[in-house]
Amino acid sequence: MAISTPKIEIFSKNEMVIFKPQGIWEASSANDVEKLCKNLLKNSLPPFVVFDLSELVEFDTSGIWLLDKTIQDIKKRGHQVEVKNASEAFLTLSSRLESYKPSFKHLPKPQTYIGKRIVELGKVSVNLAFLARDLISFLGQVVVGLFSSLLHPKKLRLISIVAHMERFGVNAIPIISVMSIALGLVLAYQGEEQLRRFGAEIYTINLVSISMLREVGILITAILIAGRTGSSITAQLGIMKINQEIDALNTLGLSPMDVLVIPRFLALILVMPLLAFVSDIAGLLGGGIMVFFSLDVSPQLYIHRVAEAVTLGGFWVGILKAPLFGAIIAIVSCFEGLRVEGTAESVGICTTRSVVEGIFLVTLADALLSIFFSKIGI
Amino acid sequence: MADNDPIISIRGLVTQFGDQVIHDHLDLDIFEGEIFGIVGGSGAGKSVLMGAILGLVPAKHGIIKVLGKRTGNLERIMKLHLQSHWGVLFQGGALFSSLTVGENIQIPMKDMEHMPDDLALEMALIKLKMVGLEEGDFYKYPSELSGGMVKRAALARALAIDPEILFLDEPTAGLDPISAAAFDELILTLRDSLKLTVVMVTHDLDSIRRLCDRLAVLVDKRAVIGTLQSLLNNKHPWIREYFHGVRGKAAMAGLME
Ligand SMILES: Nc1ncnc2c1ncn2[C@@H]1O[C@H](COP(=O)(O)OP(=O)(O)OP(=O)(O)O)[C@@H](O)[C@H]1O
Ligand SMILES: [Mg+2]
Repeated sequence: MAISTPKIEIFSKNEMVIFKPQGIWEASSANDVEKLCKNLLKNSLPPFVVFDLSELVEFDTSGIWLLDKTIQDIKKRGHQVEVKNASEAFLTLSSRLESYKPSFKHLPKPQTYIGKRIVELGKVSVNLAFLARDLISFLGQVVVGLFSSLLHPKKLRLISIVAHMERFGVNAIPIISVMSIALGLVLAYQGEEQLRRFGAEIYTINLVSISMLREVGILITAILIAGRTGSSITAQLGIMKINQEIDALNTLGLSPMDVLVIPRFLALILVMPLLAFVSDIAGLLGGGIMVFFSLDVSPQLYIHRVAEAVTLGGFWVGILKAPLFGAIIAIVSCFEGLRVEGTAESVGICTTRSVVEGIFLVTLADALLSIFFSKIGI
Repeated sequence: MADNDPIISIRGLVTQFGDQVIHDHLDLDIFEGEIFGIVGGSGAGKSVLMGAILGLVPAKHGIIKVLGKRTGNLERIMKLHLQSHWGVLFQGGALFSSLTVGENIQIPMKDMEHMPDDLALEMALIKLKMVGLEEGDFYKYPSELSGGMVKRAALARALAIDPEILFLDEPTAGLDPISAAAFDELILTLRDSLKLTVVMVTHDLDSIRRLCDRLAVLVDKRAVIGTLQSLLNNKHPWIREYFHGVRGKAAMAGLME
């Protein structure tokens, strides 16, 4: 069996030293090889150095590279170096490697830690400003696209819109119903506990129905859709961007705005009020179940009290917010999807941003609208 | 493993996607130190065959042995650490898009604990130059490369640890003729000095003529194997068309009587 660990045998004669590399000089043993070579350089050497390569049979480019480097270093120190018995394979490869020698010219200088942080801080702030600007200009493009497709209704892709409505809307009904029922239950339970102290537990029904219809139903719908649909839109458009599918559309004379963005935008706007309605009903159902068990309120009475508590205005406040929130989610997610650049990592980053920005903007809009509605007295 | 045992051996390979049979009892032997070409029409199953050897495509039937050890699925290949014995160039490059070219090349080296960092950097630069890229490309991301540069960067990654077996899927597609010729020379040098075994899917008739010791032509879901000389005399209609068609004649000029 051949020796496997790399080794250098050393023979010293008065004015001369002979190095005889042995063993495997390959990438898998590069660590050992590098140490060996470093050790060679540590000792003081006589004027004549001979490398006898007769026993070096197992090597690859990394082994040759390290050996060549060592030889060059020894030469630089003013020693005479002779390489003996090198196989032809060694010679061809090592002369080839000579021409591939790295110059390290183009490698950038590493920055200092503080420098890096300052540069990063600057980048983040500038990017934030650009983000706001780009988002607003994208909003403008969408509005223009919308008008142009309203002027030429033939350009509207009805089939695509309906297909998106199914994916964004119909398929989301189960999860939205379950979440809303659970929320209705929780609201009723917590409300009843507090109101019971004043003997006003029957007003639990008012609490549940008003908060569910005005705020909670639409908010939970928007948050779920931002997570579920917004992320999928961003990821899909992002991958299409990477695969140059967007470029292909452009060269085919199809505008990505018309083909991809507007259908998704319209589908989400149309579907959100319906989902909000589903969420309202499911929430009321959850509340009803809770009061039935804890307050012994019969279903008929519950429906009656809900009808008394809720005004039509309150119901519409919730439902009318839905298309707006749908628009926000659609615009943010399409915008982020089209911002993806080249890498798989960028798809991940943009998808996260799409969801976070979507939820943030929806919540902000909801807060502003609440103030507005209370000022005008609905 | 005896000296004349094949380094890759395939017996009775059947692969299938749904109802579509790609290979039907295909046999193949590849020996150490040879440059083995795989040719065939588009969709003949060349890439799938390579995938089957690499454990990426499950084989329905048949035995695949690499370096004398039976493979077949990724799990077994992992256990045998076969990955450190081979380098793969995929048809589409398959560079990691979130890493720079330099990081891509260093990945196989980083995976070995035996490679010091500064050496890995040097070797990556050397490999980069070896395949004809420039040092300035080291910090580019794959999305910033041209099609041919992607191919070269992927080749550099496949060569990163000087593997014993090199799998190349259409290495010269997308390269200009000068770079393609340089590629041929590079592969020959590496094979001659490092005893590399090269398995190469290619449509490039010039590369075939310059490089390949033996060829497998995938026709009728099987492999017809032989040297270029013997395949030139093969009577199968597709093989005749391949080598004696307009392009084949031009590339093989002088080889045929
Ligand atoms: N993941 C897959 N699922 C289903 N069918 C596949 C899959 N991958 C390949 N195929 C089919 O297997 C067949 C062989 O494909 P393969 O990629 O091996 O072709 P090829 O010989 O490499 O062609 P080319 O020269 O164009 O690269 C094709 O018919 C293809 O449709
Ligand atoms: Mg292929």
